[in-house]
Amino acid sequence: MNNNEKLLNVFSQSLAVSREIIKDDLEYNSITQWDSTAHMALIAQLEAEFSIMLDIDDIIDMSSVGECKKILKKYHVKF
Amino acid sequence: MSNSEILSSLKLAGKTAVITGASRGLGEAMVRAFACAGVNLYLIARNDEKLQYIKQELSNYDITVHCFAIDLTDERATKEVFTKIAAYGGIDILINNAGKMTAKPLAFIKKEDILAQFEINTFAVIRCCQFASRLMIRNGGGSIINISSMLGEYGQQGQSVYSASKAAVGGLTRSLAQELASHHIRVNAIAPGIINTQLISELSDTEKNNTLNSIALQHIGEAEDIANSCLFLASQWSSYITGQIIGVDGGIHF
Ligand SMILES: NC(=O)c1ccc[n+]([C@@H]2O[C@H](COP(=O)([O-])OP(=O)(O)OC[C@H]3O[C@@H](n4cnc5c(N)ncnc54)[C@H](OP(=O)(O)O)[C@@H]3O)[C@@H](O)[C@H]2O)c1
Repeated sequence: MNNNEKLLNVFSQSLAVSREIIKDDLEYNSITQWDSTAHMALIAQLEAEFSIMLDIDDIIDMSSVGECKKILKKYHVKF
Repeated sequence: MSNSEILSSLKLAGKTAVITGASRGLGEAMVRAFACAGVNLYLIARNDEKLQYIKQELSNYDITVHCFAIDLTDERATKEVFTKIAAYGGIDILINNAGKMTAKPLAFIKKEDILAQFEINTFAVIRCCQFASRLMIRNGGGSIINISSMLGEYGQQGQSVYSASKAAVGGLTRSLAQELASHHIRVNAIAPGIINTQLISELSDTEKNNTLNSIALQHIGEAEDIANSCLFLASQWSSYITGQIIGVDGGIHF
């Protein structure tokens, strides 16, 4: 499974949404499913899937799927 | 019920715990109690020699023990430790026990004194909760136990900064209990009264005597009293308890 696929799975499982709605411009708090509770689950699952530990600043900056990809690149996750 | 039957009824064997401030005092007693219950351990404190000595002493137990000699006020070092713990497979229990107490009357308190106590008693606790909760979510839940203090509840002359730093832990505990409940993480605090450890040597004889007079059970507690309460809060026996600050203080009344 490539990293894009992994990312889609993590988002759809943590937010409990279908993969179709996960686009780069999907933003935190723009849908009811992506609230602060789901965000915690998302962070935990991202860290587990990509074997990383995110900095607090990066968690705060993770405001959309696109931003998430940019941040993960800093942790050497390639898309 | 025998001791070993009681310990096995806790169903903690095979679980994994991080204990901060594990090199002496209450933390060391917690380490021994959790080792007896079959819990795999990550020990954190600055004194590596002491941590290694404790690890050596636990070699007869059928558990894994990892030591991390770091200063918990160092954010980067803390993150590195939790990254390693994540790679080993995560945790079920976090005990935020490391702490520092310096007594000073209000007029003599410098900003550095405030920062020094808040850095370890409060900020480091928040940071460990942040990292540990994410690892617990991966594993489906867990138990966080913060060691606050009765001084955080009642205050004491000369202890304004320490009391404030521990009262903050109380607020943190109650709030996190609500925030993390949906992730099946329980968060509680133990507020020890006066317990026989090195930290208490900071108190003057007058302070010790005054405190003793206010303990209903008329004696200072032992580190094992706190360790046993931690076992309870980590175990299934406390599965419906969260957001509580439990005084383990011999019935202290100020
Ligand atoms: N004893 C009491 O009567 C009492 C009463 C109420 C609350 N408490 C609380 O209970 C906890 C334990 O107390 P204690 O009596 O066992 O104290 P203690 O004997 O002074 O032990 C404190 C522990 O914290 C560690 N520590 C301190 N600063 C640290 C830092 N910057 N980074 C990493 N580790 C650090 C110490 O290890 P290193 O020096 O090796 O780093 C040591 O293991 C504290 O939070 C204290 O406030 C104690």
